[in-house]
Amino acid sequence: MKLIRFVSQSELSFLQEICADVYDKWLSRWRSPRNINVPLRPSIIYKEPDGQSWLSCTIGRGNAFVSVSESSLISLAALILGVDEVIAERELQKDILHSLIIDACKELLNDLSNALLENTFKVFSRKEEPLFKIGTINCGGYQFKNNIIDVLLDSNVVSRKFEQKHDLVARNQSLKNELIDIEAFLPPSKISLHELLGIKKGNMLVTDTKIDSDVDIFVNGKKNRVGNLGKTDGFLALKVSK
Amino acid sequence: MNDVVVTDLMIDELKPLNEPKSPVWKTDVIKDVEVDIDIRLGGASVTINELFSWKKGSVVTLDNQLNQPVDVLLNQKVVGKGMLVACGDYYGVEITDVIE
Repeated sequence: MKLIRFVSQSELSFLQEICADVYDKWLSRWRSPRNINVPLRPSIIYKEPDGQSWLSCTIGRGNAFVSVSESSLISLAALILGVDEVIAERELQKDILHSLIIDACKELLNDLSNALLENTFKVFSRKEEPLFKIGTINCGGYQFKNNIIDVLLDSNVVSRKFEQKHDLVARNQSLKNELIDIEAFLPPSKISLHELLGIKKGNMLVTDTKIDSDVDIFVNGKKNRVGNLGKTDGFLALKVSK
Repeated sequence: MNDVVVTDLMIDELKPLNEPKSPVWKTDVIKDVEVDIDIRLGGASVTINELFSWKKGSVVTLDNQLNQPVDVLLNQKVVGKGMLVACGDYYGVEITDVIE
């Protein structure tokens, strides 16, 4: 488990101040006008928070892993909608609201990350590993448990935490997304050096390849397939024929 | 066994005459020599998975637009560029760029 580490209480307070500031700005954008009582405030916690954790972002000196449990989402939904938690929980089942909450989380993380990256903590201590908590979004070192992370990974503030233990995968699985270059050529044409050396701009070079006959597809310099030449969306294209 | 006197071999140092730095090609000598030229239509980057998914009828889009020239290669080196055209029943290349 990797946590954000702080040397002193003053450092923690400094962080807390930043978080509070970011959080206030975020609230001004997301909190419902109907919700007068803001239940969420930044605070520092010293033990692992309960709840499922989902996302991470780069904060300060390293990766922070941010936990957003189902109950946290409901609290956020209640905050944004200005409704009670029962209604929020019911509404949360709707995809639009769900993505709204996720957007809100992403925005908060983004702001938080931007604010904290500007400040460098010079000393690194392993003695204490407090976590900080902003409302119901907890920062600490957690594993991802929910596919929501796939949505959040699209944002530039989140990154996947690589686990130390890796399950074995088949080599072809590992290679399947490897990019390789292919090239397409007309079959070679014979030309005399006399003709070749006499070519000038505007000349016509007639190949030995009949229109509609196959063209060659090379992979790694070797002929691999043949196809018919055509076009698609303004580009040359090949239809594999063999 | 006869006694043989062994001495150092004296070899004259050969100096070229004042040869021109770039030889003059007498193209008449080689004018009938035929070489292969290749016309590169374009390329593409595909994943290995895609490559092995290809079957008859699969379409592969190349990186070359229709109005862009294709490469003319001699010994794997691009010696010219031109537009792909039809010359009767055959593909042709109208040369747009070549070092003359």
